Amino acid sequence: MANLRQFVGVHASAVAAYTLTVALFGFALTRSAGFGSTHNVSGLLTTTTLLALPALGQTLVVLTGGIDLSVPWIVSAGGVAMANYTASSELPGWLVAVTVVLGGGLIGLLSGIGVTVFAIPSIVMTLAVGGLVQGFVLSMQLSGGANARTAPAGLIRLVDTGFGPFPVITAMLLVGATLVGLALHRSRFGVRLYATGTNETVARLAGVRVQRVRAIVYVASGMASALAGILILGYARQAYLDMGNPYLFTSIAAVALGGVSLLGGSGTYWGTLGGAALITVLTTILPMFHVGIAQMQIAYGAIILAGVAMGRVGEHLGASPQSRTPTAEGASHG
Amino acid sequence: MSTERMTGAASTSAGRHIEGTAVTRIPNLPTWTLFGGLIVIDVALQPGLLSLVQVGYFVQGAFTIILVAAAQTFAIMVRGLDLSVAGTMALGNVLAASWLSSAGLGHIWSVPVILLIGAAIGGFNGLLIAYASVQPVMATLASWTAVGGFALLVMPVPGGVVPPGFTAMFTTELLGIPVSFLWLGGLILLWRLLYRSRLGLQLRAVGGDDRRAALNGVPVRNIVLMAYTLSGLLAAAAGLYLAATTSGGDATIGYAYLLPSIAAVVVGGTALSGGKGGIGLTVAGAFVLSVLADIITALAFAPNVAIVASSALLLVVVGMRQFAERRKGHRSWQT
Repeated sequence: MANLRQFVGVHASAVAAYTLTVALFGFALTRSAGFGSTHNVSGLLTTTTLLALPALGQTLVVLTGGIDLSVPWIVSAGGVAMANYTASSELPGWLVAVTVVLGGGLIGLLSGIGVTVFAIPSIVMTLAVGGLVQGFVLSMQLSGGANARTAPAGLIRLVDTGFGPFPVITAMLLVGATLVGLALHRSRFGVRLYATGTNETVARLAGVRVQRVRAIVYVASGMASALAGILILGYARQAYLDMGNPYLFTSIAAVALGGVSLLGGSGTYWGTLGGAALITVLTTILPMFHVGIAQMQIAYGAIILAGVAMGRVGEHLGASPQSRTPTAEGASHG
Repeated sequence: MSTERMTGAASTSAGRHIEGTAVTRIPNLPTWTLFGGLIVIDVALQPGLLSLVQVGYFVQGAFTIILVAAAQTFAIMVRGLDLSVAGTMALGNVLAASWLSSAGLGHIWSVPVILLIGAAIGGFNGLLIAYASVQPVMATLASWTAVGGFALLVMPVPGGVVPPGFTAMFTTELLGIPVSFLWLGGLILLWRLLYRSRLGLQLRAVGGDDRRAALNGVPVRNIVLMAYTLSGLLAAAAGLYLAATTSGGDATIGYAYLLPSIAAVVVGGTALSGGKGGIGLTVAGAFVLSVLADIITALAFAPNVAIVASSALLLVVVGMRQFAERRKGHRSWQT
């Protein structure tokens, strides 16, 4: 009984996210036949993929009980660096892309070291690292010429290629998601990661190298965000300074909608994917009702709050006990 | 639990005395040393700064960060964090730019209304955190997102105007003294009054150790609620002030002030683990950041260098503090 309740508590919002996505898609079809066109479906899938990548990093960090506010700047840095370096160097595009992704990983490592070795709160650490990256992006933007902002032709081709309405990059994302799923649910690393997020002290006493696990997730987040920046460059054709800005709120909203507990320790990447798909469909449909970006952002706020509330309900239904932070204690024991 | 934390909760006059001397004054030393050193460098680079008018302009420019960091100080004092200052500040900013110029609310009456809206947003955060036990970071992230959306709704593109008379309230001189000194003096005076009041003591007690505070009869939830309400009020004031001094509104302005708000508090010396410090220290921290930015401009570096420098300073200071706290065996603040 407890297991069933736990399953419902953890997966209900993920199931709801997928169901709502399909329902909203069907609803949009009744309003406009063009919504089901190859072109539109391909656009929806591409946009979902572009959101799913930064949301992947956010998911891993949130699972360990942290949060990554450097995501938007690493996305921008990935896009701007890719455009600059392919324009200014003779290296093949794929090599530049690999370098940029590894660079994202290095930025993530910096956050990871701050959070683990120096015990800096993740929110302060990632915000400050975001500031460092912002300075770097600005300097590249200032030094690069006008041509340095355009996407390389090969990258545009990659993002545009698809089997009918199904983009290649979405197929690659699904392969990646399967690997992430295996790592989270079928490997020792996954067990350690969930243990760390559930209760760090217990995990440490059980022999988990908590610090190493926590550092790794920031590296993964940096790499995923940099890769997202590269692909967004291909999709938007142009790199610009604040191309990553929308991904701060949307990556966290996707995580919350997908049923990943914002307290850490429970949830899946498949859930986040559902959340990303739902956000994408919503963003596409709402203009039909003359709902703009401002209202969408208000909705994201409500979604994050609802995600937190659902996490608390799940907790009461008997899901895994959450690690209590001193900050949470400040309120709950008053 | 160390003995230092207990003194935070001890509501005797002796306990207050210890707080005032041993805990808050000594950590001032590195902050003021850093501040003094930076000022010497800045004045050496541009000797023209040494005039009352120039210092007045400097304070006027720094006051936005001072206000938003003062807002952040209240949340950090009760061992939380307020990300929504970015949203509330943006909302205050665009409301000021669109209401003050229109006759709808009778100009100046929109000022208290905007401050009340800020307090209400902060109060909402406080209710979530104190009474619904939502993590501060999550509660204020959600309200930041939503309030930022409302700001965009009010003013989709930067614009608006502020009456010159309102701008003058913050930019002129009074009897030869730049009016920015008076605003700064007023803020510090209000903080000193609060610090010495019962509420101030209770704030420090809750931040120091909420369980002990509760055992001593402090209404912990109400104090947390009050801290976030004051944070919202000051964040809205920061937006209002920015609208007055820049004579316009921008719904996306808040994000740029989130990092400085936390950096000023931390560099000033208020502990992330709560209970210690206050707005006096935060003012010093905000000045350090402002002087640093001024030096970087004087050296003709690009503006992005200032962002990098303040981020790096935040990381170095917070890293050293956390490291030192951990070696002392304190319980550290974690998200």
